[in-house]
Amino acid sequence: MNRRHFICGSALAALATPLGAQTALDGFDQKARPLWEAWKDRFLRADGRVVDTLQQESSHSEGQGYGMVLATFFDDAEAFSRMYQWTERNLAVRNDSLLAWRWLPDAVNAVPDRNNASDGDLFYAWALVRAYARFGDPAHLTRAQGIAEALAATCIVAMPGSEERTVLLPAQFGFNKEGRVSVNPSYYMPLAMRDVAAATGVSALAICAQHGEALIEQLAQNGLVPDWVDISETGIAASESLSPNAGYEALRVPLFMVWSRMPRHQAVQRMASVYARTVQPGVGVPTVIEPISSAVLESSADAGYQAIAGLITCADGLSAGALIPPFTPDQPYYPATLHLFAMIAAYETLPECVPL
Amino acid sequence: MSMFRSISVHIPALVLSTAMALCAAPLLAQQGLILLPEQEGSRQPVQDSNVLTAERVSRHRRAEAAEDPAQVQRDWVAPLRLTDLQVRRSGALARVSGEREFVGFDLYVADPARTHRLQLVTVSSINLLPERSFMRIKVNGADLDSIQLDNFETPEADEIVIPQGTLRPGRNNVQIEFRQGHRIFCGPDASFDLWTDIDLVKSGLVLDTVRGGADADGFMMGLAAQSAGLAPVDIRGIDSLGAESDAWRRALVRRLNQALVGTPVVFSFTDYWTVAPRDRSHARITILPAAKSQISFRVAGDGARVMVLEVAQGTRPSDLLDQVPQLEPQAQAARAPLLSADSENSFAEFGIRTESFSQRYAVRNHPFRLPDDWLILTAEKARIYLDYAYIEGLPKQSKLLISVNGQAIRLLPLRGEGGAPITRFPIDFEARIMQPGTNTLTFEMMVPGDPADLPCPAYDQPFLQIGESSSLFVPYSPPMSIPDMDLAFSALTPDSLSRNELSNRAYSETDILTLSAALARTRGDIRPSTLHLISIDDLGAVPMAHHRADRKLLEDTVLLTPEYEAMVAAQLSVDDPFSARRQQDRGFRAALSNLVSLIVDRIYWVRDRIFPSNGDQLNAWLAERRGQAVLFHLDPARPDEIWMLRSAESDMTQIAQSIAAARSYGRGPRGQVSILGHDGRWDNWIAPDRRPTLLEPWSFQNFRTAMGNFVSARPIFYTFLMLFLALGSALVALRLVISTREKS
Repeated sequence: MNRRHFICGSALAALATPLGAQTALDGFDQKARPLWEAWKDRFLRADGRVVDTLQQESSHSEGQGYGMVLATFFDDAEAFSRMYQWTERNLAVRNDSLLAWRWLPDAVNAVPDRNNASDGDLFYAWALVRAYARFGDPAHLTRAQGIAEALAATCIVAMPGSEERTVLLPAQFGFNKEGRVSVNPSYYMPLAMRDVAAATGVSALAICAQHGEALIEQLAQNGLVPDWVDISETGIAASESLSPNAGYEALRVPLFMVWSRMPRHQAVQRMASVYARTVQPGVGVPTVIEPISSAVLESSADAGYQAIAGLITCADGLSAGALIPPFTPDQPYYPATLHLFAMIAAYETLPECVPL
Repeated sequence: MSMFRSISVHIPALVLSTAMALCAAPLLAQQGLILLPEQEGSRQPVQDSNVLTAERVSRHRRAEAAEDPAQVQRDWVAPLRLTDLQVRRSGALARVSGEREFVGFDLYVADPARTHRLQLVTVSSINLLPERSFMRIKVNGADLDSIQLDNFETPEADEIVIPQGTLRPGRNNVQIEFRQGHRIFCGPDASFDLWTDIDLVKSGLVLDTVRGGADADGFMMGLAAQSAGLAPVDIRGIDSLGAESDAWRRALVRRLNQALVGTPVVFSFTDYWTVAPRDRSHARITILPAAKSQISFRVAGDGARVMVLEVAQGTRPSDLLDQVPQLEPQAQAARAPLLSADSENSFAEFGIRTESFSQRYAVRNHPFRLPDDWLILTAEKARIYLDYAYIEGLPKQSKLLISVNGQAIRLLPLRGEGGAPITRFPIDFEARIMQPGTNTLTFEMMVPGDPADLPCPAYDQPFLQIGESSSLFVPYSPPMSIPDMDLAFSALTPDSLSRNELSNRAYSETDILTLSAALARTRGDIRPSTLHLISIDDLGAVPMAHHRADRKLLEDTVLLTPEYEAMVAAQLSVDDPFSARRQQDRGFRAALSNLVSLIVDRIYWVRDRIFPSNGDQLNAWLAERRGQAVLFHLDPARPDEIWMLRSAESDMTQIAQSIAAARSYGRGPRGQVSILGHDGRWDNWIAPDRRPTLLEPWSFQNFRTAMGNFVSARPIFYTFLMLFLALGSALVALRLVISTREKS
């Protein structure tokens, strides 16, 4: 880090504290504390590892980042510290500041793949930025800065065919081949990218967030935003090798848009129309949908997906109150975590969308 | 491919200002550009793993082996809601005992066209003879099927199909006749061994999906389902109403409890952000502050039927709740029928319809009410004119016992005049058995088996009928009152609950909500009364007036459980080899001691009659009783206040149910101290020195009766008073005579 970076970072860090304080949810951490305790009991081990029960009891940089972001919203410095320390010990094994994407229990080599996951890195950095604002440890901001810079350096690249725009690669390796990049729209979390950029001075993240919003808007013109798209000189196309459907990845897109205070975004409206047509309370929520025809290919009864549907439907302005079910830890890690995200997004951005 | 490409992009100031407006303004102002990370030169590739695995890109998909929950059929049951609080209940199970019982239920249905499967989950005593034991089901008066009672080991489900057109939207009436025959014996004793437990959570209308129900009927159906398992119903967001929240809290608890018959519905006040309960929620109420008030019904994300109240400032609860006919108070909200004094009241007038008995043992309780200012303490008679009939040839010992407030007033043998109606049979009893407020008239019929050691023959005709044309004459009473907790108990509302810091040790928030629900079925505000909830550490706060209740005895009353006493008794019964020797040694001394204590007891008996105010009678009463809760109403100067002490082991749900039942059916707390026994019955202590008060001026008309009440309240006292007056007069007269003679 050179001097110029330091000065910029310090200046922005000074601004970050009140910013972070503003985004703290007044009273929510106390009102909803039992939800967070239930999440911790189910998914957070004593050593600070967030366990994805459905995926071989493994842990991801994403899970650690998600958990740490939640800890900052629930003002839980102790849980944050445990997760942070475990992550630093076990996933910060690369030569740069980014995290290896996965840790496997009971394996000789717990981290066989040192590739990163940019969404995990982003949430990890966001959690550190928020933690600095909330708990006041400058080391967190310093660490966030390193991650933001490494993300900008390794995962933000020029969009093929449109050099003025950037895209967020899902990882350092494997998604940028022969002039064609594979992009996962759900890796864009504009609010997180802007907060991290603001706090660390890594403006590439904020710019990339803006480009990402435009990309998602473009994708939503023709239908639902898919899990993966391929971008090349010839334009944007459905992914040839990865899921072209609007599936478990893409259902985060409207959630993150609402959370980023864009409830009128086209991606939100598209998904809201599908939910309005298909969601029946108490019955499975569509989780894999064909983007153009909106045919439901798969559905799930996990409450977390119902929570997203409830939030998105409410954001679209159909009625007062949201059909967000009560939080339950009796669901896998992923929907459970998204469940809490949906509740936080509702509380933060759409006060009228309280759970009915 | 290198992943470390140089990033050196010139960005227009406009873009930057949008992206970094909040935090980077000073820097932007300085250069018009944001400072970007510098290229720090190439590094070594992180690892040679650019393998794009399927796991990497689909890590959020469910595991293949996982059951698809969307495909799991979510059957649930719109449960039968037991309307009779007198049926014994333990958790979800209600026990129906005896040879022939009719049990009424409410069944709330949102869409009758959706399903016609009625499921009944039961388990019966092994003493039942299946060939003579069955349930006969009626829905809205239509006779449906019969189901044999043959589930003996574990609760099992039986199902019947309800014909199209039988059910209607909203509240439906289901009546189940339980016929239970003993497989070996016949008679009253045998009938005590006959029982069937019905699971109130799992019995009801089976709904194949959770769709539909976004209307008031659906909400009522969900409310019945939620309360069937005695689970609290959430009311969300009431605190958002600020200063108006208390009024809404009271109105909702009261209105919803009045709209449902049966076990009180317990409510829990929560925030919007909640953890799902262990058992699925079927109903809740959500309050949203709004600019315009309106009420709507939705099906929430978890399938719960939700009544959504959007409340604008200044809206009264009745403005919204009155819009929903389903929330109208049900008939149970009416108090027991009020009888007129100094006149004959037919049974029909106080709700007793012609009743038939075709079982060997039966008990029927009929609550009625006398004016709060009615009081007879003298030996004046009340009279029942009974119209009844019984069949010829009933076995010897067949009888009908008639009681008022648990006190037997007449035992009628059912033989000799069988086969013909008996009209206006006069039954006189002392009117002082009746009390102001709620009373209970009980019929208890017993017909022995003939023979008793064989199963009863199949017989459907009634043994006995009691006609609704029978009547009860209540004698005149001048308006008088006497200290009694019944009036204060009848007037309790959820607002009556009073706690202090020490109460929190004995009563949790859930306990308070449960009690509030039990007290919510008031019939309007009679007068303000208070129920002080006290812990055992706070016994000193109970005003005892002149009564001296022993603290140790009080503690034993609620702390000693039947199980503990049984254990102590078992230990004492262990053979003591030296006891016989000790008995011999005592011999004469023991006999002498017994004689002395007998004399002392007699002296105390006389003293208590002359000076009934001493506390020994209360202590003697307390010493023999154990219970789950005690109510105190000892200070006549505080007629509207009751103090409640509970056992640490007690179940507040049972206490609340007993309170609700007592307020509906009578036989509740009376007098000055009342103990709720472990069998769910109230045992009352009435102070012997209660003093009546005349509530109108003395007059020629009321003098005799009123004076009779005063004297009857303390007969020994007035006897001795008269004796002393007579003696005094005699002495004066004697003195006068003597002095006159001296002069002459």
